[in-house]
Amino acid sequence: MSRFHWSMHVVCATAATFLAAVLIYTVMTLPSEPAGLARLVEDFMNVSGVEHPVTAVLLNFRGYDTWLELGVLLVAVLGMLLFQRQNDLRQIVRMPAAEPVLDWLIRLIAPMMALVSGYLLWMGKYSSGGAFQAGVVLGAACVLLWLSGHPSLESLSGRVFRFLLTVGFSVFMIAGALFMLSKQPFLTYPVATAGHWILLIETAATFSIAVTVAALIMGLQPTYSETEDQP
Amino acid sequence: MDTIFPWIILLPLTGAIATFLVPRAWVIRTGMVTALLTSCMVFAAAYFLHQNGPVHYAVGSWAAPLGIRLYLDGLACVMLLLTAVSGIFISVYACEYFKDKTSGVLKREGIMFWPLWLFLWGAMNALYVSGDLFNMYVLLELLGLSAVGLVALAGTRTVLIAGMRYLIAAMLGSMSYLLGVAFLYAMHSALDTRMMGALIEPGMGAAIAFALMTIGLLLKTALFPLHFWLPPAHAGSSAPVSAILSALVVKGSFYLLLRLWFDVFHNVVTIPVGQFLGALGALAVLWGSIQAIRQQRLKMLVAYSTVAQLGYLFAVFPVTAGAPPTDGVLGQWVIESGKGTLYHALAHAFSKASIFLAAGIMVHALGTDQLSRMRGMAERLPLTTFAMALAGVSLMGLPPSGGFIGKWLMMHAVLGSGQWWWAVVIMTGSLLTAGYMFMMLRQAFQPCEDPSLFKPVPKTMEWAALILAFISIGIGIRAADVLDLLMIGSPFLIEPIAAVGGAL
Amino acid sequence: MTMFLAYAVTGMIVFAIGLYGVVIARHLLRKIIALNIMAGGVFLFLISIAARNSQAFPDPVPQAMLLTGVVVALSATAFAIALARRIYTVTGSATLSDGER
Repeated sequence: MSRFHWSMHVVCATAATFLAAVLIYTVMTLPSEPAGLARLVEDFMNVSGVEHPVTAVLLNFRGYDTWLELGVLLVAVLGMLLFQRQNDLRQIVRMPAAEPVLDWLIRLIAPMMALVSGYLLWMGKYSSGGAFQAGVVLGAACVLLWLSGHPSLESLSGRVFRFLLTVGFSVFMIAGALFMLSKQPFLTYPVATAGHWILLIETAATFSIAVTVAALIMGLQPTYSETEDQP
Repeated sequence: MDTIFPWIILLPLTGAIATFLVPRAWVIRTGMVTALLTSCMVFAAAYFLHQNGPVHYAVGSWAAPLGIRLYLDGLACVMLLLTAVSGIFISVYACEYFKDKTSGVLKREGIMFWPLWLFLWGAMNALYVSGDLFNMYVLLELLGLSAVGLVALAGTRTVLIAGMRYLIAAMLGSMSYLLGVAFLYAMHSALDTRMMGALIEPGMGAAIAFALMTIGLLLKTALFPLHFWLPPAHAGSSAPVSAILSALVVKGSFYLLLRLWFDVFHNVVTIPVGQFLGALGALAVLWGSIQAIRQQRLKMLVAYSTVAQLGYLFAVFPVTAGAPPTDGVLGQWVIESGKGTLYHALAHAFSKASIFLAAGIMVHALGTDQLSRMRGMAERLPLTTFAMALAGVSLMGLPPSGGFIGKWLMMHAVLGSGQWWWAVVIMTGSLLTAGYMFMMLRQAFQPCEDPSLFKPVPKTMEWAALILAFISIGIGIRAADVLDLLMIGSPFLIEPIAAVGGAL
Repeated sequence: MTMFLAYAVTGMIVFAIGLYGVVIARHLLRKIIALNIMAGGVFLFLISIAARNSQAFPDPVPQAMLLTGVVVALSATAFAIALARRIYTVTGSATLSDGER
């Protein structure tokens, strides 16, 4: 299945094994009980606005990286739209309506998924959860609806679709820039309301991530105009 | 300064969102306004840097290592200016380039160009000021994806395959880099570059982390022998995209290599490592130049020229590995080599952007970039040919261009450190560069056989290419000012061994 | 400490296997999957770092790096798949036909 001669396989396999050996040896030399950053995070938890350390790091202490990561997601969708030569999902072929039992099941499950998504979003403050988990569940619900022939993301107008894609990144940026008016560095939240700002940002991000993830799946499906598509 | 600083990142990214959301008729206006505002912010930041010195910026008011620290010094500022000035003229060119020839309406390609280009510009600006290793990873990914998107813009079969190769190389590079960062964190529990530089100790872990991160960045900078993706991607893309890739994107990963070398790994790197990197650079210079001479198409020639010119930048590593501290007389060549490398990068960015834009004009006018069809260009497209010639002067390193200053400083440093063999490489490379430059220009100055072959070209495009070429010469004339700006914050400092481990 | 080593060593092996796959595989989808496997190895290593010191809670910074890394890898993979599909539509084959890698 590869056009390489078997000797090439041997060479690459040997090289990979050698690399693994070197890396494993290095791993053995790593300290096993270093002072991680957990202590430092613990010290600042009370001013972070949330009660879960990972959420605090993601959305407050190192929120800059999370914001940029939303940008990476956005560029991925931009790329997908570019390659598919579409501006939104309206050209996607509608799937046929699912058979009655499956249809009933999906009508039951999809709203529950929306509920679970909201729960995961809320739980981000107290435990594992937050925007990404909630967004992926919601996106999966959108894909499920489309698979069974129900109206889903492809019935959104172009403007609404693009707005939803960018709302997470934009709200994060605006919230971060707002307090620059009072001479604070970018992405500083006032201690008292930090929790609320984080929830606002996470909510916007949930919608963005849901639409992004669903679009990345649905965007690769056949479209009505595919047969006329000239290479 | 604190109020201005974040806007150099926020403005291009806001513009990217805006150009994605606005209706088609407004895209160019929004894009150009963003480009102009971003450049103004960068100039303002440069002014403040000159007045007040380097700036540390703690994002979210959290100090490192808990939060992410941004840092603006002379080196970062020069790179920001490089991107801003090139960016303005490339944007102006792109306004005209993506318009449909007959109707004057923005083509579909053009609509997607602006969001991707502004995301790329924002990622580059953020990369130049970043002081956090993981932040650099996220930005490298953002940069890579935007760049691949821009490559694939043209949509032809060759360009899609070239883009895929680039994407795979970029993802490999990022993975390797991330593993290196993970190793560093595992050893020292910090992600800030300065902290890491103070904490790091020579050993297996640091060496492996260095190797992983360097290989990842070498893949992205397309240093020989990991350059396989560059020529088809740079040559096949639309002209403004080729300019962006050759002038700007490859400089980003090289900048990171430089930063890591000086800020993080300066105690870890040994002389053999420096010589190895220098040797790869030398091979890049020689191999790239020879390949460039063999090309039939202008854009492939220029793309191989990029492979070669990037090799020059790597002469800084053998000179500075294991060098004496820079506060002494002996260590002065470290600073010279740093200055030379940066000047070379600066001059290359402007001249390479100019040549690629000129190549785009040629394709626009003639429909092809075959060298043999360049006959008569000097007559019909004088501005463009002049731009190519001026850019060629800088690439060859003739005085008084920016390329000359860069090469002169590098030779000075290389001879000062006693490693004369790199000087031989630089000289040979310059000769070979002259070879392919003359080969290219010779065709243009042949008499024109058939004037009707040349379609009209918007003057804006020609002027954009020409002004960039002038700038590549101009920075040679005003070298003292640029070098003063570069040295703010002493970016190429190597401290005496006793002082390392003390205050940051 | 043995737990840390177990996961970290596995991560390195997975990374190496992924790298082998990227170089050897010819079909684009296999290359992309191999890249994901490499990423998996790195993420495994990051998790093992987080679980090392058993203080109040596991180190949250590598976990945050991991989450960000996963999303970034997801984006890059989706982008790569979209590009691969476009290449398939345009050229009719899902391999990089001209050249080695």
